[in-house]
Formats: sequence, C-alpha cells, structure tokens
Amino acid sequence: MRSLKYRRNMENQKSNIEKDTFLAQWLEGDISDTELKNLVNEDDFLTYEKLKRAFEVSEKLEAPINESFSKIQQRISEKQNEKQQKVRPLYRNWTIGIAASIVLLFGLFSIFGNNPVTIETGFGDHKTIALLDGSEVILNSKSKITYDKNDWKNNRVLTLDGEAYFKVEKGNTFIVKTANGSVTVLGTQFNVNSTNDFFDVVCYEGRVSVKTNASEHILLPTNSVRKINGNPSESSTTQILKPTWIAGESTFKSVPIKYVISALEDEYNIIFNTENINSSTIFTGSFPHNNLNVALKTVFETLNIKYSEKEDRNIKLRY
Amino acid sequence: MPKNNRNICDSKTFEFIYTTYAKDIRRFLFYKMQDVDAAEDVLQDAFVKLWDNCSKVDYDKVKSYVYSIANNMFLNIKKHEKVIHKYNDQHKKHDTNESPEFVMIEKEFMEKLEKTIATLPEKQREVFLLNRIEKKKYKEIAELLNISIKAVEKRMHLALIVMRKEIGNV
Repeated sequence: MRSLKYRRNMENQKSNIEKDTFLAQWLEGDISDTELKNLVNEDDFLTYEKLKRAFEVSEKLEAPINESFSKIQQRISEKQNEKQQKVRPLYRNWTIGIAASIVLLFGLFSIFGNNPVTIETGFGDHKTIALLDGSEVILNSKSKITYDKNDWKNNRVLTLDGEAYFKVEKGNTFIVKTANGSVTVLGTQFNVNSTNDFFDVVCYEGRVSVKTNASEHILLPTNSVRKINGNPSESSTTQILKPTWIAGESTFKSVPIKYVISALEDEYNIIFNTENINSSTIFTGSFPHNNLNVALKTVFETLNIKYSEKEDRNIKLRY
Repeated sequence: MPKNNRNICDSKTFEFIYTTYAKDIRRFLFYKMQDVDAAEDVLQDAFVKLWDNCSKVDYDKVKSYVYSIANNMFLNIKKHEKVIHKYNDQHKKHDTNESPEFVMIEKEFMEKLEKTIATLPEKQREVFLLNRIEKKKYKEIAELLNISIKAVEKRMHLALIVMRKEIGNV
C-alpha cells in the first residue's frame, strides 16, 4: 500500500526532478524532504539536511545587531522609569509625615516647653501643626514657621517663610508675620504664601486683614490679595474652598512661571535651568504632588516649553 | 574609541562595547542553545544586566564579564529546561526519526562550512552567495548573470555536492 502511494508520488513529481539540479530545487523548497530521501542515501540526506539548517542559522547569526540594541535601550529606560515610580510614593506619602510630625510635636512641647518653636518642612513634605489654642497650621513643602510657645496665650504671633494654610480658633488677634507683610485675623481660615518676593493671601472664612509695607487690605471669604516682586498688590476672588495643595495639588492663577517653577523645585527637590525661557510668562493651572512626570507635563506642555533632564534632578527648559 | 572614555555607564561606551562583542556573544550562545531567537534574548538580558552593574565593572574585564553573565543565564535556562523535560518525558510519545526536526549545528561544523564556501569554485560560490546571502531567487540570479535558470540550478546543485564531500558524514 505504502509503496504504491510512493510510486504515484514519484510519478507526479517526475517531470520536475532533474538529475543534475535536484539539490538546488530541494533547497528552494520545490522538492520535499521525502522526495530527496529517495534520491540520495541516508548519510547524504542527513548531511544535506544539516547544511540547509546551517545556511539558515548562519544567515541569522550574521544579521545586524542594531535592532536588538534599540530593544536593550528600550528595556533599560523602561526599567529606570519603573524604579522612579517605585521610589517616589515612599517619601511622598505625606499623610504619614503629618501624623508623625504631630506626634513629634507633642513630644517637643513637653520637653522644650519654654523655647520659641520652629517647624520646618523639607522638599515635598507637608506638616500639620496643632497650636496650643486649637488652631491648626498646615505647612506646605520647604516652609517654616516660628512662634513663641510661652507667650502664645496672650500673643498669637507667628512668623512664616513659605506657604501655609491656617485654621484659626476664635480668640484674640492672630498675626502671621512674613517678610512681605503681615496678616491679621480673629478667627478664620486662610492661606498665606510668602516665598521670596511672592506674597499671596487667600481668605476662606471669616475676615482677614493683610498689611504690606505699601498697602492694607481687608479680605472677605473667597477674596485674595497678591503682591509680586514689590509691584502694587492686586486683589482677586477664588471659587476654591480650601487651598488645593493640601489635597496634593498646587494651583496657580495667572502667576509668573518662575514662581510655579520654584514651587515645583520645593515640592520635588529638583533644580530647573531657566536661562532659555521667559520666566515672567503667565501660568494658570495646577500640578500634582505625587507624580513629577505629570507635573512637568501639565505645567510646561501648556506653555510650549520643552524640558529635559540633563543631569540627575536638574531639568533644562527651552522653547 | 578615545582612551579616556572607559566609563561603561557612559551610553556611548556602552554602545561601543555592544557593537564590539554582541555578534560573537550571539554566536557563542547559539552554539550552546541551538536557537538563534533564544540566543538573541539572552544577549539582550546580558547587556541589560551589564548596564545595571556598569559602575561596578572594570572596563578591562568587560568582555569576560559579559561572557560570564551570558553563560550563567544560559545555564539557568538549561536548569529550568531540565525540569520541564523531566516532566515531558513521561508524557512524550517516541516518534520515529523519519524526519529529524532538530539537527545540532556545532561550532566546528559551522567553521568547516565557512571554509568550504570560501574554497568553492568561483562560479558556484557566486551563485551560492547570491542565493543564500543576498536572498535572490534562481530566476533573478539567472537574469543578473545572464545565464539560464537551469545553469544557476546546476551550479547550486554542484556547490552542495562539493560541500557534502568536504564536510563528510555528520
């Protein structure tokens, strides 16, 4: 039965198989392995089989290697991104930081009860501070408050460098002193941002009095006053009920980009090279505190500014 | 290659090391694994690992370092395969070896083959290289050399017979 089928196959193929070219035909796939087996002996067949495979392998082994190099580069950069994303949440988990600092603070009170108290936050750090009268201060990153604990009952005065949100319990006047001016209130909620020459106060509840060396303002809820670089102060209103940075996002409304950049630097502990951009470009928008990539994207892509990390934590900006 | 740039973490140096050794390592892995694609994968793994450890590796020892990583990775794969084979062997049907799908290609065989190709008569070698390396069909070669397809096939056929003779039984 088998030999019959065989012969038929042979007959079908006969016209195609030529005595002096069948190896070439086989190599090209015109003659099958089974057919070749009938034309040569077992040893020959095995050798030809091996040669055929060797040709294929050799070709692949000689193939260019650039393609797999770009795959390697891709894998390396993916790995690096992964690493960055893995690390960040650890030190950006500021709720733990807040809890820890409250505990630490109570400890400090009991030990250094009589000294002026200074509380500072580092890059990307937030702290919630409970004052003796029940008032609360939430410090944004890279900010500092100082107050005299001893005299707090009579004299609710603290100095602020940076940004903080205040929830003041009712009582006698509560004063926030900054290098750019002072803010006076009775009982209210407000946000003060005094970073270098940028000064911004927003009132969220009650009544706030803001005094700079040049002017005096009374703020009602949703009112804000801002003073940039010694220019006359401007007033505006906001719809937001609480500063957004407390919820892990910094929001800006018509602010020169350089202040946004300095907020990014404080939040993420990075440095920007701004020599190639116009640092007074006005920015309105916000950036998150937990993802540098998204933050960079939201701030700079809207302004058509390109950013690239030249060295570790040093970002160059250009158009 | 400037002498002062011996820092493997520098991406240019890294690429230089890659282009210098990658092909040889791929071959080296192929002879062990007998699978070009698998060799390619291990090659990539090895260089990703080199990058991870770029600051710890001495430039003068980088060649032996990459070869060792590649070899260790290969051994790990083999170890794992052994487990798989052990399992599969119990379930495998032992087929007849009517058409062996797997033919081992050793380094020695390949070197012998390359030598043989180099010593082929000019006309045969020309056709062989056009077909195998340049991937041209017999018909294209015939047009290119202005000979008949039949003549191309004859030369190819002869080339194979020469190779078979030179290489001997396998």
